[in-house]
Amino acid sequence: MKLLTANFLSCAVKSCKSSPLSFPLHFRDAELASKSVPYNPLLLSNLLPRLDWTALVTSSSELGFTLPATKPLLQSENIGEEDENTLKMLHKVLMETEVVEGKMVCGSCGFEYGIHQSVGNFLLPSHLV
Amino acid sequence: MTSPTPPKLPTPSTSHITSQPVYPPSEDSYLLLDAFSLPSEIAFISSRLPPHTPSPLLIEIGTGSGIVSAFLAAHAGTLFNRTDIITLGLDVSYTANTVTATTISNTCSSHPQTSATFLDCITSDLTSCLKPNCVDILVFNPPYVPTSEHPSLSTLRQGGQQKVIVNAKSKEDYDMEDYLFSLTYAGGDKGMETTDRLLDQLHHVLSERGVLYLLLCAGNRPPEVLERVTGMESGWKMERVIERRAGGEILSIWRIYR
Repeated sequence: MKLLTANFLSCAVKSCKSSPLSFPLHFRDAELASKSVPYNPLLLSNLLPRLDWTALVTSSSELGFTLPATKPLLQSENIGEEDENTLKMLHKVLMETEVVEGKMVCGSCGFEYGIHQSVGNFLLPSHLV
Repeated sequence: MTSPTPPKLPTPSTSHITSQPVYPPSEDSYLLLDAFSLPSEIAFISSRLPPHTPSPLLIEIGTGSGIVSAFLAAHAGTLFNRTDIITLGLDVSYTANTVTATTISNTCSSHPQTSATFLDCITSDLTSCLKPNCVDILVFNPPYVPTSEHPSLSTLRQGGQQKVIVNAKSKEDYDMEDYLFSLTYAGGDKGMETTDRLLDQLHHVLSERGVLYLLLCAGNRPPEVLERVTGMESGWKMERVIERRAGGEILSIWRIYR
């Protein structure tokens, strides 16, 4: 599971959906791998406006990466060298960092979602549905 | 004046799928590929999600072999007029998710100029793993066949991590294969039991600009579904994109949006 994916997931337990603690889920016992992904600067700059930056900073720090505390502001026209470096750093952290094995834990109910061979398992046991 | 002809886009290869119990590419899968290839649909999506707006999130529920997601991801530049799109695949079957990830990655590698960015496959019941209201393009080819019994997900829910089933040999694996196949098609009452659950939560799933592409068969009674969807709160529209007779079935694809 890519680090970016965590920005779109929350706890599958219905009563957790409205709790701010259910997002982002917290990575635990993560085994990481780096996986090459084609670099798409347009994607990164158009993704930024929709990302929950605070959640991204949290997820990144749980995996050992430090992102700037505030969302980078990019010029939409002609991207300069500094912006280019920011985009390349984001590409590496968000797109190419993969959690191969590990867990994601809900901060509200404590349920642990397993990640096995990069696939997260969000099927809840019957008693939680 | 002649109407524009659909682009001729290659169908993704699923030759890596040998004996895994996933729904094989079928008439309904191909109808979805044709629906998204219609010039009128390309124009519709481009107007909903114009370039320079935030990058869209495309999600398929029940990816099976991965053929539909792979087609949409690899040809995003042609079908959606932009490649700054991220995609996720959701399926209740871990086997389907492992197979789909390969189908999408292989297909995107063959079309680097037009590919979106595929993120992940996730084992999930419908969209229950998602943060609310984040999906811009949602695709669902549901288990739509009317059946007297609707298989429960309880077998998959117990026991934690699923195994990948390939080349079943034991009784236990054969039983799991049969069960996984039943989940791919059996829709229960009017074939609508799973689809109804998605429609119930749709207002929590789609973004403001989001569109659901839903496949129905005649047995689902599309006019009744239309009446239900357009009667839901917050003003939903439901329009037929394409219809085709396939074997004994009449299949149609609908777009649902606010």
